[in-house]
Amino acid sequence: MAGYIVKRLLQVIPVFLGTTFLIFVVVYALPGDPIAALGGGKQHLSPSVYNELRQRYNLDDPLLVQYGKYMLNLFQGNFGTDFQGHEVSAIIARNWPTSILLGTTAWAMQVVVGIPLGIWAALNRGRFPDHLVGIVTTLAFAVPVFVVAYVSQILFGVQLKWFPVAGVSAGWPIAFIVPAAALAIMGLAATARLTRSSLIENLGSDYVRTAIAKGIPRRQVIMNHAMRNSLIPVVTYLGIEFGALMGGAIIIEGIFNLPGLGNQIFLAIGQQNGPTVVGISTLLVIVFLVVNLIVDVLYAYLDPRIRHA
Amino acid sequence: MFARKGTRRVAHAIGGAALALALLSSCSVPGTGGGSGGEGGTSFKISMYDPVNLTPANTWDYNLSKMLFTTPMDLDAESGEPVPAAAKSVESDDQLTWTITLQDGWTFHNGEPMTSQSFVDAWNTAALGKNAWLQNGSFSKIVGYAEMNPAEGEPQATELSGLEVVSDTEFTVTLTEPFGLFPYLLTSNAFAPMPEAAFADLDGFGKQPIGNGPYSIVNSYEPNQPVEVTRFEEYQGRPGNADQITFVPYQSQDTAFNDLLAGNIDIVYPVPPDRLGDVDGLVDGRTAVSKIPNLNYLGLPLWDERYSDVRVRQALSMAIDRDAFTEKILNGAGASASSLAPDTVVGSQENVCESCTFDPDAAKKLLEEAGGWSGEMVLYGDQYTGRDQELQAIANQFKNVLGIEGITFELSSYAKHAEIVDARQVQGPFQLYMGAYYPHISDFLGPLVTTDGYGNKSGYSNPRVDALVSEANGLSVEDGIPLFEEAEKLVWQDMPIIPLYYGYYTAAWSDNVQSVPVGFSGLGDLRDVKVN
Amino acid sequence: MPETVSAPRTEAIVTAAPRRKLSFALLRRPGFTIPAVVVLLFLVISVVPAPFASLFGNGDPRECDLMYSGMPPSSGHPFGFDVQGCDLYANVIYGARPSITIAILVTFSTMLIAIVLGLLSGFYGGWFDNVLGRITDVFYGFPFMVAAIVILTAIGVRNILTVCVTLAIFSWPTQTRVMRSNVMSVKHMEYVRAARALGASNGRLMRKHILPNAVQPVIVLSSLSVGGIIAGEAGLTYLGVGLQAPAISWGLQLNTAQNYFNSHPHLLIFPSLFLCVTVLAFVILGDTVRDILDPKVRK
Repeated sequence: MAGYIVKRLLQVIPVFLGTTFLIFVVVYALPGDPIAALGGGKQHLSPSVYNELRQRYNLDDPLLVQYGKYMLNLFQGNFGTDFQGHEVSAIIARNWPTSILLGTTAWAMQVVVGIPLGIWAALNRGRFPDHLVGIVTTLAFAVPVFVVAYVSQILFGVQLKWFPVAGVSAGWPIAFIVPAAALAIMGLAATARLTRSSLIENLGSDYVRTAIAKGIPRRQVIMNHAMRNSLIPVVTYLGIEFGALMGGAIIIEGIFNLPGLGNQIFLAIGQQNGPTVVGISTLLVIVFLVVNLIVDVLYAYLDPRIRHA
Repeated sequence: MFARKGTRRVAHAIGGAALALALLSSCSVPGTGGGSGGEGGTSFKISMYDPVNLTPANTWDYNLSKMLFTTPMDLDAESGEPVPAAAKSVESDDQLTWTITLQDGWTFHNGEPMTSQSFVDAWNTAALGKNAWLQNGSFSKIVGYAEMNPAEGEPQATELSGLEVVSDTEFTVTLTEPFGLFPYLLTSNAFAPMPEAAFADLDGFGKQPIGNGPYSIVNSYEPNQPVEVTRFEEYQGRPGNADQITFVPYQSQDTAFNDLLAGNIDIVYPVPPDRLGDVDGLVDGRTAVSKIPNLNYLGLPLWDERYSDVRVRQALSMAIDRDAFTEKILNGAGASASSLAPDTVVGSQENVCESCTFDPDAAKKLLEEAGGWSGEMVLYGDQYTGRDQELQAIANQFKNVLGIEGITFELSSYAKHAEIVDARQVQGPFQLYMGAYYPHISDFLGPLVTTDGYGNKSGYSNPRVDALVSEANGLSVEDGIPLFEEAEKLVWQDMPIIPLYYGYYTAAWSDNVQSVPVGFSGLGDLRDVKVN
Repeated sequence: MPETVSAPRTEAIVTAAPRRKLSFALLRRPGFTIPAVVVLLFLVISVVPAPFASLFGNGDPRECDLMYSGMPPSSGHPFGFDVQGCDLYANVIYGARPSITIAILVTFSTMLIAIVLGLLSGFYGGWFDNVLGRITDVFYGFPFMVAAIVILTAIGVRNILTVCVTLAIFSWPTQTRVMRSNVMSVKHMEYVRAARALGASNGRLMRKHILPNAVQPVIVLSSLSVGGIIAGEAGLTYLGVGLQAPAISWGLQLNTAQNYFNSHPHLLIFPSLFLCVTVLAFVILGDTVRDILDPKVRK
């Protein structure tokens, strides 16, 4: 097991370097001068201040030198400073909690609604509940997330006034319910479908049939045997999904005006604020890699065939 | 000329203040305070953009700085003209050397007296390019600036040689060339004074500044955290109404607006464009529109021969129905432009641009006379929300009126747009915004249409316009106006740019406050805000 | 970012390597025929939009007059007018073209890349497989939305081609992985070994024996992700980094509609309806293809 973990850890290093470097290259290639963008089009900087600021942010260094300097700082836990002089780590510390709250709420919805829906459909295979779940999940896949978000904002916020239109001032949970639902809907459908197909597969397997033939009550067989096994792929999926949800959601946070990482990075891209974009992206990559690592290790632990493959 | 007027105004100002004080002492009941203020005090909350730094010359923030610091001059809320504030008078006989006489007995929030040296030290620090203070450019008209900000290499001086201290309350400023509008310049936050205590720790000062303004800071600034200020009781100028003001930073005005509706904040400016449609209903009409001095226009690549015929430029301008444009596309967040500057600006002339009136037949005729249009047309713009719709509307009108088909757009990020415009890589009309620093026509003509103007991106150069603007700048305000007017008339004969609209910005507030001042510079003097 | 129908999600739904052949059975299922007709209809519309657009007599999407800006539906203008005063129905009809074009281009280019790379890396293994594995990992680790926005902002040029390239950059790794793992399992099948023993060349082995038996999951995955690609384009355009005016697309129409929602709600309704129906048709179609090819989830 330890050997497997070490092997996976070693694989992470080139991926991390490659991903961050790619981010760096793309952000570096962003057109337009970030210092010139500081005035936001409404103000104008004197040439001497402009030159001084370019120097302070190493903007005149070659790409590789900039990347090297950035990585050195990063390994000391320093995400750098943005072009307005704010610590990127402070920006992350301020905005991440909102994204985490949103992501966790959405994830909880996927678990609490998605899994039971899938089980319900599987146990009633071919009958009405199965068809209903099939139709609902298909619809969930079909409607683009921003349409869901926008329509639900107008319906529940503007028309019915059940929930705040936007913003987090109403606090958790009330301000997060509609955005989290809009964010969860697609993953929820996927969870339900995955649970259904996995459970159906297990219900048809030999060991379940044997158990029922041996006279163990069907209900007990389903709960104790089939369910446990069929949830393994679901748990894996939900694990990866959790990692993805932690990174914030650009569209949802934008529409509902939640001050999370997604909103922040979108603003930063628009303002050419490279350090913020690189900083948050790097964080997202780290979260993704760590979650994947954990899921893989867990999976290897649950299914011994993997670690010897 | 200005000197006399200035002195007269001071007398008025003092009289007014005395009257106000008398009224206050006779009618006000001490310690009252309705509204939201907890322990007997009155307070309100207002949205702002994160100021990043609170040193007045090193931030683009306006309203918070104006509360913490008082600059030598202030803009009068009614007339938009400069009136004395921290200075008793600002005078000059030749518009080249200016004598600034300070008010007596003013102190900073820490008790340190406000002297000539407080101004000179602050200005010297801001004017040094190495310090990279954002408003450094404001000092470029003062003698010695060039030595402190060389194009390359180390600065040869660390102090503005044009500044000279005469006494504790008097100092002189020598400019590189006569400039009658210098008092306007002195209303900018860049010219605020700083106490001696500031220079020991400039970083600390940027977080917790010691000002000379009507309010002093309570807490230390932290990025994106609210800043609280409390009334400075020893302030010698006109005091503020509210006991406390909290400035809440927002990254997006949408969030701020939602917080206004949720009752978490009292004043929001500006209201985001997409909420203008329903804002009045949402806050019971507690809104006001500010006509800040700005112009949204299309620059033209005069170096491109397709745009070199003035008749083509006039035809393009006359093909645009600005009234329909501002009503339908902008939802009323702007007024049709018919000159360089809106009517709130001193020296502006309405309808002086004859080709800014929608006249499809004349437009068609002019274009035909000029040989018609051939080839493709590209419109350039930045990616500000809704810009594509603005360009689309213009393109549709060029098509409908002039028959120019297949117009395409190139929309880039703000910085990229500015870059290609500067580098003259644009091959068609390009959208731009011009915001004047003070509401005077000089600050439109100078930047936009003089040969060396920093906002002149069309490559327009007319020696007569240059001469008139330069001569007018050297005169006192009254004497300069006719020359400025003549210069603008010349400009429209050449049509180097196509004015589109003057942008409007709306403020909205809660029922906790009243008398919210909204004027030519956006939100006006927050001292006027009354808490209910 | 979890918002777009991203490849990993669809991958989670495709469960196993199927063996059945795509057959005429498809045609007998309403789950196939109905969406297939819808897709076909949109395909025709995107090739020749003019006759469809002029059904109500005002077929020119670029005939606009600010006088009619935002007017509700009226005779001859069933969907009303957009902000610019153009006929909204004609615009929505013309808006099908970019969506369909992008869906087709991205799906086929992704499939092609995935099949070629997956085949080579699964068959030969070794250093090529290792390098490719790490590269797919790198793209896998990217937050899709962020990367797409940054890339499109960096390129600066926003047209169908650049949006396609951006979407394809993030779709190929998943499919390549699926292809590779299928090739690896097929490679060890007895008939492949038999063919090799009979002296078949590597090229022939891959072409004749492995490819036909390993390609089905990629087809399933592709058909499932078409809807996601259309939604992805609309999402990027909605954010203001996808297609640009004066192009006509549903994403652009929705992007504009959000600023005028309070005054003109119909601007939002019609484009999103068309967008949803198209995506839905592709999703159901993909589902049906998957059901038939993958016996495990069949009823």
